[in-house]
Amino acid sequence: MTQVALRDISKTFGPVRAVDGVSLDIESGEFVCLLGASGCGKTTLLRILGGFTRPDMGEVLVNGKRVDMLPPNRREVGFVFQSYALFPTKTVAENIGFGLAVRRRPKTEIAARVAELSELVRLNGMEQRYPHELSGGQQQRVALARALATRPAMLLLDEPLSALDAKIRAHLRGEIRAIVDRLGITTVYVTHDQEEALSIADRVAVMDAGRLLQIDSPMDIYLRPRERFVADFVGTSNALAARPVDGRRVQLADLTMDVPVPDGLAAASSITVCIRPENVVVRPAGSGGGAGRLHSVTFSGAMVRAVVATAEGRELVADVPTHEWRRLALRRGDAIAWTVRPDSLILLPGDQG
Amino acid sequence: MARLLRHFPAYSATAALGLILLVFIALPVGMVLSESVRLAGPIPLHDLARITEDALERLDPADRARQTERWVGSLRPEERTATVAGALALVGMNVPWDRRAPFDEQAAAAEAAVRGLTAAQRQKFDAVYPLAAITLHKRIALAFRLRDKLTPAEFDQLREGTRQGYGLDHYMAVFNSPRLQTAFRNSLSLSAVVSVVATATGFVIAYGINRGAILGSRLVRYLTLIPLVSPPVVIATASILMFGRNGAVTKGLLQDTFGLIDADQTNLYGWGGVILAQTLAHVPHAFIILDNVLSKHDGRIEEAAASQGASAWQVFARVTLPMTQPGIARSLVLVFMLIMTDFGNPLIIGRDIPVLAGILYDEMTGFQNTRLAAAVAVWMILPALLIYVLIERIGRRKRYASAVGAPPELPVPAQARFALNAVAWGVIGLTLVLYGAIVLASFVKIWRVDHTPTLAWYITGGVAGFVSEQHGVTAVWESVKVAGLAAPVGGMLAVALAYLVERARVPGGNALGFIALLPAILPGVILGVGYVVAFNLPLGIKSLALTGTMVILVLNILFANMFIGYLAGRAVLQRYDAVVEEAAESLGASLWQRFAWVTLPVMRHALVLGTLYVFVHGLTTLSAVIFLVSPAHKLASVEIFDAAERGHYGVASALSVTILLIVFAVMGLIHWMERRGPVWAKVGALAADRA
Ligand SMILES: Nc1ncnc2c1ncn2[C@@H]1O[C@H](COP(=O)(O)OP(=O)(O)O)[C@@H](O)[C@H]1O
Ligand SMILES: [Mg+2]
Repeated sequence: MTQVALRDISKTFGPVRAVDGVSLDIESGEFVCLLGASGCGKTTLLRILGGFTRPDMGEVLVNGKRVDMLPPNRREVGFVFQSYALFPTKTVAENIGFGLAVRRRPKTEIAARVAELSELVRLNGMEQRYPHELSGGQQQRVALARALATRPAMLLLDEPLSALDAKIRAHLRGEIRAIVDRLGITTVYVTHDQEEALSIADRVAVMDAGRLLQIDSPMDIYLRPRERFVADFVGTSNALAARPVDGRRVQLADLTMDVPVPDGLAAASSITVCIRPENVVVRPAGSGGGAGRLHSVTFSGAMVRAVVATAEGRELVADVPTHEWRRLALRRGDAIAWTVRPDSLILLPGDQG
Repeated sequence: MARLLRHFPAYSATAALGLILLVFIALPVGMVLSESVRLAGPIPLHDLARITEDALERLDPADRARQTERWVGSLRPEERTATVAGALALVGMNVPWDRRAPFDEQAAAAEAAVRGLTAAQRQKFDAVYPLAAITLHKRIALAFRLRDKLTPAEFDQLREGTRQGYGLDHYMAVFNSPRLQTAFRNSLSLSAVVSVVATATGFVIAYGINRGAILGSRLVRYLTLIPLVSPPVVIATASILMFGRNGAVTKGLLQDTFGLIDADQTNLYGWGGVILAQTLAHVPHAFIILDNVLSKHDGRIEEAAASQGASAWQVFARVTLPMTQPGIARSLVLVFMLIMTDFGNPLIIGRDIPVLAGILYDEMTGFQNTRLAAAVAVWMILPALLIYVLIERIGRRKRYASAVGAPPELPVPAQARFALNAVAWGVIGLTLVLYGAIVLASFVKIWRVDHTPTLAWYITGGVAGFVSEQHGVTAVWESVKVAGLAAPVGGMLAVALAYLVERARVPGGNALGFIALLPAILPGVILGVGYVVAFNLPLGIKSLALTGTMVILVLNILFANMFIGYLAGRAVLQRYDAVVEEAAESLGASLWQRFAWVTLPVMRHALVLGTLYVFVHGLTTLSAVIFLVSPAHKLASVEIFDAAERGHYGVASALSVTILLIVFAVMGLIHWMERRGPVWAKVGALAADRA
């Protein structure tokens, strides 16, 4: 069931189009990530959802009712700010219990809920500390617990982990997802870190310059990006110009591959093919496929990243599993042959190479 | 040794600066404290007799016998009676008659008492009688006789029968003397009321501006700060013009036009007027502090509260207010301190309400009683210091340095918006009306009596035969000269000190910093009294005396106000990477070159600010310099005060307007130059690129 619907939302700040015609449906209980580079309008969109910013145009619907004129205190959302925004004058317990206190709930109920949430985010024993007496990770947990304490219908998180170092980040990411799953709460999570987005979300919404480019499952975002920007932003990709041949094959350099071409692209004279590095296959010269030369080799543990200069003068990035690379015994400067796994080709319209 | 050589420039600069600060800040402050506990009291009889006996022993025996006989023989009758009483006391007996009775009765009683002595008592009595006589009545003759054999101190002590002591008697006067008791109570109440009202008002304006609820917030910011750069007693003077016995509003409007009140009865003189004037004059101080605090709040915190379901009022009461609390406390203490020590306004409109400032003023100028004045000065600052220490102790955990963030985007409810605007524009409106009255009054012959336009107050000092000692606004030029001398020197010293403390890290640097900051905590009056005490007769050498010169005014203004430049300088240095300077040092730059070529350009802003502050304060300060001016060297601020106190509002207004114009002109110029600054820098950089 659709819980939240954004209809054609726009917001400008002076000359800047922070959000540009975004429409988006969020299912009840779903975990959606807004992914995009810094400055692309993620925070602005999230603040529109939270009621802090009013859109210039468009509608925000919650369970079918318009809410875009409602102030934040009537929205029933829990918001976790990038800077945490903990109340510096209040203890951890008072921070967590704030939402209940302003609703004039009985003290015993507040105490019970605070205890429950401290347990949930594993902050027990720290309830009487002040925010400045906590580490960054702990402050983040307080912010999360505070957002959840009033049992909001939706949880909004704005880059909640960006201020923490990598190790804690990976760990807390898992914890947040576990807590959200346990509560079954609808969640919108903003991040600029594609790995974080792919690993945590049910669906990832990729944004660029205020526009929503694509929203899909992490797997689909990675395997079937619908735009060059998405393909480049999420993971690494090689973009090459290609030519569709009837509806079933694609001509790429001197390779012809059997790939079903979608109807919309079949008639085009030129299309763009994106290939993930792990789908580029490198072999010794003379084993068939495109001709090329090994331009550089970088070892990174499980994988070897090889950059191939093709005969057409393009660069192709290939990731080869280390055990395979050892068998190939290639060196920089060697002539090689390359092919791609046909089932992994991403076909995009136009000459975007 | 090499280390010493390398640091020699920094060390010697620090030593020189340290000496200067010690002499011109620490010494005067210390002298106020020591002066306040100095007593001159009569020496008790027993001690005095012993001192006299010691002196007598220095005469040669024959001379002593002859003189004693002469001195005892020459006593007048009433002296003889007193001597009997003294001798009785010296042998340890009670004086059995009333020492305040008419002389005849006392003489008879004394004779009777002597007759009633036993033989043994009589013998002792006779033995001490001559000593008692000399101790009580012939000490002066004895002192002069022994002049060559006594030190000056011994001579004075013997002659006057008094000695210097130390004690808290002057402080106790606040509890013992009804005059001081009342004044102290009034000062406390007035300061408490005004600090609360001014802080509340300042908070309302600062909150409104920072939440975007005030119309024309940029303008409001500027207008709110005007009283801060105004000469003293402008508001009090203007209030009299508007609300006094013959005020435009009280007499002109309410009495003559509407017949509502009798302006002779209902006017601003008294509590209401003082509170009003002091509040208007001190809202800017509260505003600056609270504006600073509120503008640094992370707006996301308030948004967090709102998304938790808190209403606008709940966000304000539970989140904004507690976070502002340290600022509110600081504002309360600062305004409290300022009101406790302010002379101007209460002396102009509140003479019916005695306050400590008035007592101090009278003691200094009327009775030259610097000791009591010093103690009163300390009483003026003690309560605020106590409150401050208390707050610091309680509030130690409460430092809410939040990330500097954007203000919240939460809308302020319409009624609150209306109230915020009403207060802000109400205060500004009233202030502008008062300043307008001053401007008008400076251009008419006599306010509300003869409105013929005139420039006389600016040029000649006004109506003939009236205020003959005034010569237009000439005192302003003296002020400009003094402040103009003090400002650049003060700015440079401040920046140099900041550099030595922050960068050169010389030993003792922090102590110097503390001394430089003393005038920031201690109000001007302390330093003013301190300068009188310290430099009236330094080391007892008359030719070193600074009182009555222009130098003392320059020095006082310089040292009382250089702390702003020092603080600004340190702030700049803390933000700017020290490595740049190390790079310069590794390239062979000396301390001076590093300072002048690398650091000073960065600190230019602090230098300008520090200089400007000394200058503006030099023009407008009253309490620090009021005791230092002399007939030959008058300052405009003191002239304004004197004129206003004597009811010469035309002169006071003309002087005030002139000062205001100068202050605005200088601030405008600096503002313009600072804006142009970066452009010049860019041009310079471009030229350097081409070369
Ligand atoms: N309150 C504001 N005033 C002016 N410009 C803003 C404001 N908030 C955001 N912007 C601008 O809108 C764009 C999108 O900002 P934001 O939503 O914060 O991006 P993100 O969170 O994706 O980094 C940026 O160019 C930013 O500068
Ligand atoms: Mg953001």
